[in-house]
Amino acid sequence: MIEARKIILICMLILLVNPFVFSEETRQNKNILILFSFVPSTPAYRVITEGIRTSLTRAYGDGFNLHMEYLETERYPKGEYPKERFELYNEKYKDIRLDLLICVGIGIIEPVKKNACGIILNLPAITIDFDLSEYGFYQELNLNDRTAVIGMKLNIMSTLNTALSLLPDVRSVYFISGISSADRMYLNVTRAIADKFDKHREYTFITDISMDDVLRMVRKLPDSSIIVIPGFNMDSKGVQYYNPESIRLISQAANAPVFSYSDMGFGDGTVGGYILSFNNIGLLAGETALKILHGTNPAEIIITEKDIYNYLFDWRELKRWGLVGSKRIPEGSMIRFEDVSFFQTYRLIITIGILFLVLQSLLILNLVRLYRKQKLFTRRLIDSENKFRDLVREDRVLRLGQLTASLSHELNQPLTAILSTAQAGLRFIESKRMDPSLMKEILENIVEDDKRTASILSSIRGMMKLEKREKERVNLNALIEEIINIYQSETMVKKINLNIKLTDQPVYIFADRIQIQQVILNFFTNATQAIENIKAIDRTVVISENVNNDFVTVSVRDYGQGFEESLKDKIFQPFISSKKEGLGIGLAISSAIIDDHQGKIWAENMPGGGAMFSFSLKII
Amino acid sequence: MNKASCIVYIVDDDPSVRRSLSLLLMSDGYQVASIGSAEELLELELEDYTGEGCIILDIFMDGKSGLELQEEINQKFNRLPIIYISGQGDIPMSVQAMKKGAVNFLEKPVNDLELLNAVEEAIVISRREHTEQQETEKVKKLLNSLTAREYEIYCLLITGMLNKQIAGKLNITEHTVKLHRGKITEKLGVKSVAELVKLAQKINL
Repeated sequence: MIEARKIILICMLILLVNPFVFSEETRQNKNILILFSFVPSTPAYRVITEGIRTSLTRAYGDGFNLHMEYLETERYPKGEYPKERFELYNEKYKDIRLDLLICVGIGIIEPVKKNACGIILNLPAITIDFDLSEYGFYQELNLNDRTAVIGMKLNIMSTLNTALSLLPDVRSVYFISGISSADRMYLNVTRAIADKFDKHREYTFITDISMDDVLRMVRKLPDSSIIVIPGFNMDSKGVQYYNPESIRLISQAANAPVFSYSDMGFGDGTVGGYILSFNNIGLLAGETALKILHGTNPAEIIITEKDIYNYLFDWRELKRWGLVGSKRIPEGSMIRFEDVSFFQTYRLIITIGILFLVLQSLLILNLVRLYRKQKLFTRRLIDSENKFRDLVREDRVLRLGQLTASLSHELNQPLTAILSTAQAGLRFIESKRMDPSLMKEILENIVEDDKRTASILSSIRGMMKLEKREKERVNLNALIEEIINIYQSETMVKKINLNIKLTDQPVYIFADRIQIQQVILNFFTNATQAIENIKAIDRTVVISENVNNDFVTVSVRDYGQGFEESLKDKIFQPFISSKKEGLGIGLAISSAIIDDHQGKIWAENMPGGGAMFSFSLKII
Repeated sequence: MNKASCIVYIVDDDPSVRRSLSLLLMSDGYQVASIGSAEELLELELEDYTGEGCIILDIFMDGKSGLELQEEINQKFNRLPIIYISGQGDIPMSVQAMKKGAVNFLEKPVNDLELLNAVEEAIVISRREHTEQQETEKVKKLLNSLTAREYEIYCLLITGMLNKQIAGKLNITEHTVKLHRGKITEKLGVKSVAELVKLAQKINL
């Protein structure tokens, strides 16, 4: 009665903890009960469960419930399993419509069949257990006539042969086994076929040994040995290990490769080989469960056993034993945990990176080269500019020298005249031969010569103005209009008719505004004087501006007598003049200005009479 | 010295210079001819030219320069002394001018005394040359008045030969030589052989 109360209490606890069990939704969900022979946290069980869950999730999503119980058959001798457990299950699951029972574990069917009652016994079932009939071990695998059996065969020979063909020089094989019931089972079936083993090698079975002793021993195994661990879940001291754990310890200590029958321990230190895959068993169980849940009769389901074995190798272990890339690894084998190098992983990125660096380096090199080149060119440019400046300076000095010579001659003349005239005057006075008319003549001569000197000096000043001026972008039309404004008063006084022909669009030149104005003004002055001197009938001065491609030409034309054709080439030289007054310096200055502007200046006698003076400059 | 009888030819293409130099020379009492170019000088008609005077020539002028035309000027003006004036006198040019017979080379602006002294010197030279020329002409005229025989004997006399030697050389009598000698001294207006030799030197015989 106390038991019954306990059961009720547990039920109530379950109710409290898991209220969804009774929700409406769960009625449509598939409910699957998995019975394990041992705690479900056993690594193999976990892998199987995961496989089942994966398969079911693919089909139902969240629409299924996995209920798990375990029988602890280890703890209870065969057949003495407490029936109360099953009663409890019946009670526990009475409101849940269980759809399927999956029994997992070595020898699980026997206690279930013996002790279960009610619904559990009549559920469609899947058995997952070893089918060891070929080794002479028989056990019950069918729970009822609606049982699908996944009978795992232990292909010990194949597993062993795969290992040995990988390492043909192995002389000693050490089977190291724990003492749990599973361990004993594995060891027993191994021993059962030991007489079929290759006789060239030595086979040693080690069991009932503490882990410490195992580790001590595996450190000093003879050369050309391998270790096979059929199962090691408990050592002689009764310390429990799970297979992966014990394999890891042994593998780390061992001086020989470690093999096992299944993928328990794969990734923890076994080399691999032809091994049983619990993961595949889980997936297979899940698929089988789906078939059953979809209404297939479990008894009719044919399980193909080959799906549960794999050729599987651990790359790290292969590497450890110098077997990477070995031709003895069977074709189609899966190799896991390959230690892909950093370069392999990021090959593309690294390649791109290196390429980028190389390109960048090339670019930088090129930039450095260009920079040096530019520096060189700059230096050369400066050099040639200096040379050019020197030349210009020399030229200027030369021209100045010529000019000075001319000027000193020009100044000498009136100075000579003044001196001699004045001295003559003095002499006339001394000799008392001076009369007023002679005195007047002498003084007039002096005044005239003095004026002439002054005009030469003012011309020199005008010439000096040529030096040192900055050029700028100038609107030529505006410039000409300014000049016309200056000139207009003179034209009015002198009754000159000014005819202006400028372009509609402004024309821009790069020039010294004042100097260009000086040139045009000089043209105007010449034209005016030509008209004045000759008493020309047509008192017209024409100023015109013409654009031709990149050049603009400014011309000033008069209708005077023109100039002597013989002077045509010399007219722009200093002190060449066809006029009685004037030095002939104006056109020389104009020429120098236009030269300085890289322009052209010329003079021509026009067919209709008169002269035309022109200059042309580049338009910007 | 009678300055008024001297003519100074002023040749310069600059009218004001020409004018001023004229005034200066006129103030000192010279006759002045003002001429605009060397070519004009060559074309000048020499009417009242006395042979006394000088030429003031500007080296740099429009047209042909004074230096270029110096030969012709010398010929035309019977080696009348030339004073060059220049605004840009330099040594090579002055050397060239002097070689061609210029008497002076002055730089503009020229000081009055400098110019007047130069002109005076030049005129003295011209006058001396003029006098010498006149004397030479006179001697030449006198010698021309001799007969061929007389001239022959004259030429032998001035070499210092005695009457007897001359007679021997010409195959005539010593008496005949004496007669001719009397005629010669008479015609030439000299008394001694020494004077005869002097005359011969004047015309570079």
